[in-house]
Formats: sequence, C-alpha cells, structure tokens
Amino acid sequence: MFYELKKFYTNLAVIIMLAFIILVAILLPVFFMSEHETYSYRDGAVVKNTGLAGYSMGKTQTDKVKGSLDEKKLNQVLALYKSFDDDMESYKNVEEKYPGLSGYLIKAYAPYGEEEGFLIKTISNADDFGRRDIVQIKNKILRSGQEDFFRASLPQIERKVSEIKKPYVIEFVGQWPILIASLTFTYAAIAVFSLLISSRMCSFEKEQKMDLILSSIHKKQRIGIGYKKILAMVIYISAVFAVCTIIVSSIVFLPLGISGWNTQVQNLPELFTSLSHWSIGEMYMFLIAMAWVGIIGVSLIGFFVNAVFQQTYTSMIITAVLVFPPWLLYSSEGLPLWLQKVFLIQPINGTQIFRHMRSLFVYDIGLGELLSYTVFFVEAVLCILALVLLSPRLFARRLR
Amino acid sequence: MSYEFKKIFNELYVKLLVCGILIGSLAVAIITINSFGELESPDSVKELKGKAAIELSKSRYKNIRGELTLVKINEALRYYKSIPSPDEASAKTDERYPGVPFLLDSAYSKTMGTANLHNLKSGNDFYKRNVVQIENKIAKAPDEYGDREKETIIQRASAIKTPYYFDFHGQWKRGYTSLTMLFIVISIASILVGSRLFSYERENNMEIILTTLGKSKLYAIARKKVFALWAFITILCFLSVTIFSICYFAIAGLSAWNSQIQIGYFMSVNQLTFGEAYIAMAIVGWISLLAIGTLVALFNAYIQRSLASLAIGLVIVILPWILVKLGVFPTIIKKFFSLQPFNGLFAENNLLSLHVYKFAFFDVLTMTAVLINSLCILAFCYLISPRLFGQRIIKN
Repeated sequence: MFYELKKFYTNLAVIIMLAFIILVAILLPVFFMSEHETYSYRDGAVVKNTGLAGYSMGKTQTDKVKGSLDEKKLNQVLALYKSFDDDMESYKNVEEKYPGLSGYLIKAYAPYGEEEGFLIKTISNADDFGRRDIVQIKNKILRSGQEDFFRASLPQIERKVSEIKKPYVIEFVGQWPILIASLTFTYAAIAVFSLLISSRMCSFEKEQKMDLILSSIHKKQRIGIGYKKILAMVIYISAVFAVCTIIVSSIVFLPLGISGWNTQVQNLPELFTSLSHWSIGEMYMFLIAMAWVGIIGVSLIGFFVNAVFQQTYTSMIITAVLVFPPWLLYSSEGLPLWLQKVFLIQPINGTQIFRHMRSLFVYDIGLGELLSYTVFFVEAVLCILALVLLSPRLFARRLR
Repeated sequence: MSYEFKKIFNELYVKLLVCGILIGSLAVAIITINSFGELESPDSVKELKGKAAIELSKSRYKNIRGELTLVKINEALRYYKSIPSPDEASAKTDERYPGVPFLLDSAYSKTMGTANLHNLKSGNDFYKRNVVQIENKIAKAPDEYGDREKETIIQRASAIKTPYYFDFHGQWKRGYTSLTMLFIVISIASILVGSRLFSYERENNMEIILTTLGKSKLYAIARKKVFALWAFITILCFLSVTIFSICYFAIAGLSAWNSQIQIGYFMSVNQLTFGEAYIAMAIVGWISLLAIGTLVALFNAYIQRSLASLAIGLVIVILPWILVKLGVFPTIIKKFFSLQPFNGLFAENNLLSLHVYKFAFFDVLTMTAVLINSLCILAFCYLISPRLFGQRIIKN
C-alpha cells in the first residue's frame, strides 16, 4: 500500500493541486475575517469596525442580550421601536439597547423576500414569535410558487419544525458563517482534487506501459492490488481533508472562539427557516462528516470509472459529467423540484451544508420522514460500499 | 496540420467533450428560455414562464417602443407618483411602461439603497444622470480609480448617444450570462486539450523518433500543433455559439439589436448596441479561449507531462479570477488580474467595468484591453512554445 501511495503523492500534478488547496484553506478564512464589517450604535452615532476588532465589538454587543429569547424581550424591543416617530431614530436606539434583535423580528415578521424595506413598527406584537418559523416557511413556499409540490409534505414539515427547541438562545455566532463558507469552498476544491487523483489510479500502470506485468500475475493478487489502491487513495484524500479542516477551523476558532456551539442553527440569519433541530456545534460536526463521506464517494466513483475506461482524461471527463451536475446545476432557474430533491442527496452535495440546512424537502422513503442529510448518509454509504466491492474486481478483469 | 488535428480529435475524451458541449449549448438555450418569468398582471399571482412570458413582455413594450424621450420618461414618472405605495407603483408602472422603473431607479438611486421616486420632481435631467451616478460610484471607491481614468470615463459616459432607443431587451441580458456559461465549459475543454498538446508523443513513447528529426523540423511540427489547437478551439467555439444563438434567438427574437446597452446597463460606458455587444463578446470570448488553451500548451511544452500541465493550467487560469474577487490587493494588481484571458469570458462584468487601460497611445476600456492582452499572449506563445518543445525533446 505504501508503494501505491508513493505513486501519486510524488506526482507533480498532485503536488501543485495540493499546494493550491492549502493556500485556499489559509487565505479564505483570513480574507473573510479581515473584510468583515461590524456596526454598532452608541449615543446615536454609528461605530464601524472591521476585522478582528469588529468581532470583539460584536461580542460585547451580544453580551447585552445574551440568554434565551422570549416573547417578553421581543415585546420590549417593539415598544422601544414604537416610542420614536422617526424610523432611523428608533432603529439606532434599539440597536444600542438590544443589538441584533431587530434582525430576529425582521426574519420572523417581514414578508418573505421583502426584508429590505420592512418597517418593524408595523408589527402589532411579538406574542406569536415562537410560531412564526412555520408561518415564514409557508411564506417561503408560497413565494417560490411551488405550493403544489409541497402541499403533500406540509404536515411533515410542520412536524419537523415542532421538534426545534424553543426558545432560541442568543449567543455570539458571527464566526460561524465565515467558518462554513471557507470550509464549503475548500471542500469543493478537494472534491475536484480527488477527481484528479482517482482518475489515474487504475490507468497508471497502463499509461506507463507496465500493465503487461500486472496481467501476468494471478487474478486474486490483482484484486488485492485493487484494494490496496483504494485504501491508498482513501487514506491520502482523508489526510488532505483532515489537514484542511484543521487549518480552516483553527484560523477561525483561535481568535474568535466557539461561542454559540450549543444554540440552535436558526440563530444564524441565513437559517431562520431551516427545518433542522441541530445545534450549531452539531451542524459543524455533521458538516465535516458529510463532506468527508461525499468526497470519498466522489473519489470512488472516479476510481470505478477509471477501472472501466483505463484512460486518465476520458475517465476524468466521464466522472465530471456523472458527479458535478448535481452541484453546479442545483440552484439553476427552471430546474424541476423533484430533480433538485434528487440532486441534493448526491455525494458531491455533501460539501454544501447550507443547501441541506435550507432545503424544505422531507424524504418519505419507507424509513420514516427524513431530512436530506440522513438520506444523504444512507445513499452515500451504500454507494461507497458497492463501489469498494465492485471496483477491484473490475480493475482485475479489465487489465487482461 | 490535419494530422495533428486528428491526434487531438481521435482521443475518446475529446469526442465526449465535443458531444457534451454541443448538446450542452442546446440545453443552455432551452434552460435560458425557460428562465423567463412574467406576472400576468401586477395583481395576479399567476406567473407565465418561458416563451409565453417573452411574448407577454414584448406586447407590453409596444406602448413605449421607440425613442425614449424626456416626455415619455416624465409621463411614466407622473404615473408612478399617482400611486402612493412604492411596491404597487413600481409593479403597475412596469406593466404600462415596462423597463422604465428600472431605468429611473438606476438613474436616481442614491449611492446606498433605492431611489425614492415619489420625491423626484421631474426626469428632465435623465440623460445627464449616468455621469452623476458614475461619479457617485467612483467617489465610493476613491482608491480604485486614477485621476486620468476618471476623466476618460466621464468623457466617455457623456459621449453616449442619446436619446436611447427603447425596446424589449430582456433576452440580451440573459443571453450574455448564458454565453459566459458556454465559454466557461469550452475553456475547460481548451485547458484539457492544451495540457496534452506537446506531451502526446512522449506519453506514447514516440519522442525518440522526434529527436532524430532535427530542430527546424521539430519547430515546424510544434507550429502545426499550435495551429491544430487553434483550429480545434475555433471550430468548437463557433459551433457552440452558433447552436446556442440560433436556438435562443429564434424564440426570444432580436428586438433591441440597435438599442444602446445603457437601457439595460445604465452605468456602462461602452458605446455599443445590444447586438454589437453580443458580437463583441463572442469575439473576445473566442480569442480569450484561444489564449487560455495556448498558454496551457506552453506549460505543457516545458513540463512534458500532461497531468501536471493540467494542474498548473487550472491554477494559473482560474487563480486571477479568484484573486480579482478577493478585495485584498492594491488596485494596480487587481487591474492586472482582471486583464487575464479567463476574465474575457465574463461578458457582463466587462461591460460594466469602469476601468481604463493605457496601451501605447490609446486609452481602452476593459473589454478591448482583455482582447489586446489575449492577442499578445497568443503571439508570445506561438513564438516561444516551438522553441521550448524542440529543446525539451532534444535534451531528453
């Protein structure tokens, strides 16, 4: 196996791509963090801070409103809003006293997709805040014009939403979007990288004109070589994956901490209408697990295709056509929803956690009502097992 | 040359790529058509899709087609102001004067947020607003533009032909984006093919025969290889764009071919009509694709290993594009990056760019600058890669 590993980690192409990926993993979070702008209001004046200073300001701001977010608190915010005539004046005062809470009100009460110009004053009271998520989810469906598709699964969606823990617990969560964006991008790069590696695993000997030696040994031994190749590939890609995950996570966590680990994912503004009952920490763990399974899945598909075609460039293209459309075309206009639902659970979309978190699909496939990530795991693991069993045999046969 | 061309085309992966891209061009045309959507009326929730939506939009433009005079603008503005709710006003105005609310919004919005058209007295200064808005945009990012650059931009902006000729132009904006998508896919094909161009013989263990030919023969072969690559990319590009254009415009129509692009891209300083812009984009995209393929082939001539050239090619070609998006670099470096061939594929960005480049005695806008840069790369690679190829083959 060690010898199989050596065949590709000494390869110039692999080294170049590896350097590129590690560069991305370092630069991306640093860039996102340095570009981040935080605004706060003090005595009616705006204070703007960028980068790390902004984050520490954001943290002290959040400390003012830390703890569980109940209707009483939100009603106080509303009362403060209504005590001023001027919109800007009331916004400034609320942001000074209850920083960030207007965001929750906007997310919960603004007509979906029209958050921009929404006037918080028009909310009569926030007594039903705890039940607004399902209302907003229904609005989201209505807005997308796909009521027909979701009509049947609406009760299931309601059941899923009722499992979300309430009330929300407010903590500083500003570092998470950056962490997730950086990881998502890095993982996508690793997926492309694994395509490049897997597409020459089985054709390496042939392209070096060494396949005659391989074909002269016994079939069982050839199958053994196939397994060793798979093992070497999985170990190498997993190592790259682990290194990148550690780099990105430590760049974000070391200066900013892991506050918000135990709060609901709905605290992230992007995920207010998520069906998931995970905490942010759970989401982070699952995000890593899903991306890893997905990337291994992609590399095994590449390995399988390469075992069949025995030509690097050809298998690269065929694998790309098989694997990438669910990723690239997922959010394209005019894509039918059932296809989007199928696309979401394909291996490559394991790298796209926000797609899973934001989707409203409930999969009812005989195993109970499941959300996309559970189905994703089932599908990816089955796919991996099948490919691990099949590919070495195919490799052995195709060599003859 | 035809023999070298055959070498490229006879590979299974190239055939797959070509088939994929040609079918893809058709698919992109259909998807783009289907992406049109138009509400039946401002009050209804029923949305028409695809061809029906295009026809509805076109029929709405009948009222306003022709020169967009100040009289028409003021008429639309009066109508807008007669409806108190901003949302309703812009929806209803968009039905009676389609496209005008968008233009007014682009013309009168403050640097932040949208325009409050209810407070607007009249649209009499509409045709002077593009200069004002461009000045606002430049003032927001003062470090990005030099003094001479500002002057040139303002001068070009005020030279744009007015009044605008108004017509249905929704198909162009979507067409430009789809064209970019096609180009990106073709660029991957060019990188793949370019990354094997000069290592084909070595990887088939034939380079020993090549070494016996002598230098001048080798150079001739290398030049033929470059021509074969150019022929391949040109044919692929031509077929793909033709298939897309015919299918797409057969349904969406060519209305607004002669309209200034400013009715869709208010702040653009390019003196082009929608039709001209489309042709210009196709040409810039084509030359950029040639440059991308040839540049990767240059690396391949030196490294003589296909996969490594592919990796370098991907990194070198795509990196400038990523780096431009990250805002951390000084303007001069960003300007340099946005000049690189891969950015030539992003038609819409280039139309909207406010940068001016200086080549010798000419001030040129981004689109022309990318074209000139790509041509320089082509010439450079054409001169250098045969020598590299010859030396590397003989040395080993």
